[in-house]
Amino acid sequence: MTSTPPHDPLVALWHTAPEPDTHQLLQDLERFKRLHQRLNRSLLAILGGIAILLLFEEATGRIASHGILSAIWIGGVVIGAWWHRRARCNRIDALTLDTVNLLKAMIARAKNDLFVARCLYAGVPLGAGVSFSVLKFTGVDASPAAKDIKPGLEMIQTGAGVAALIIMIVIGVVLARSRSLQVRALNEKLISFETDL
Amino acid sequence: MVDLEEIVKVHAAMVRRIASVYERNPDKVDDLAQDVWIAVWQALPRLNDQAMLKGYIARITQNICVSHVRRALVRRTQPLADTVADPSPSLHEKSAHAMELFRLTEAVLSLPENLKAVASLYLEDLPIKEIALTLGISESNASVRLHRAKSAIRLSFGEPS
Repeated sequence: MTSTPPHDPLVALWHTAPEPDTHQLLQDLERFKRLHQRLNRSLLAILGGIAILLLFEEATGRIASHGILSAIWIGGVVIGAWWHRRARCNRIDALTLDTVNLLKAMIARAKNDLFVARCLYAGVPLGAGVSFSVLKFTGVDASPAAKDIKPGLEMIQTGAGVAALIIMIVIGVVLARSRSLQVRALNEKLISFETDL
Repeated sequence: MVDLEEIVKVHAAMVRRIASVYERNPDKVDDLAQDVWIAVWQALPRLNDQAMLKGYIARITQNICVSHVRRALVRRTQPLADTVADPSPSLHEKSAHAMELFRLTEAVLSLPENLKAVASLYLEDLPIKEIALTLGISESNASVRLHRAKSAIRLSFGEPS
């Protein structure tokens, strides 16, 4: 039982399945590669262009931020690139990990996402409520300049804040639902794989 | 650098066979196969040992098929007609051999997840050691699962287990 019999009729039958059309597959892969490269180049051009523009504007004194904006922008691009590379490495876990460890890694990632989702739908309104209460309790108020704002504009600001809060809660609920389903499904698979016979 | 085109030509059939164990719908099998090849393309720079290529690709296929939960969750909300393939395609009625192959595929498809994984790799002629390594289980465990899977397949063929 520990080695594959060379002439198992089931294996022989299995290998008689019709060959797939690789022509179409190769065309699709080629198109995907081209799109991927084009996307990368476009993204690089846009990000680089903005950085150059910021540097130029700051060097010529049109923006008096003394290079802080460019430094923040370039720092953001570097962090984004690192994050992208990390995500890419995660995607190719399928090669380096066995199925059980891959499922464990996916569960850990899904649980992480679930935590973020819970922070969005529960933590954000809670944080907003607590901040509001603390500000009221301690008597910290808006700056005197803020009091000169027209009531209409203040209404718009409040509305935008509440809308952002609601959007975050909705996104959190949707994300939490999908991730909890994912965690459950992956857990079932992992249990089925790990159960010793 | 390994040429992806050559690899696709050699191993496309294996990838599709393994994917067909996890999906009935041919379009979704194609989607899974495409995901596998994209992962292989991204992993190509890491593939140093050419001799291990078949095992690597089988592992990627197995892992991608087992872990496509998100797609499966979406699928549950789709109409039934879209997810269930025609159970009696005319092709399978044409010859006894095609019918046998269809029955084998159906038998593997209906196995529980843990037996299905072992069976699909075994049918690709991978040794038990490599199957165990791919799935992250012990060799004895893989052997027991394979024995059970083969018994279930034989039973569906009307043979005594």
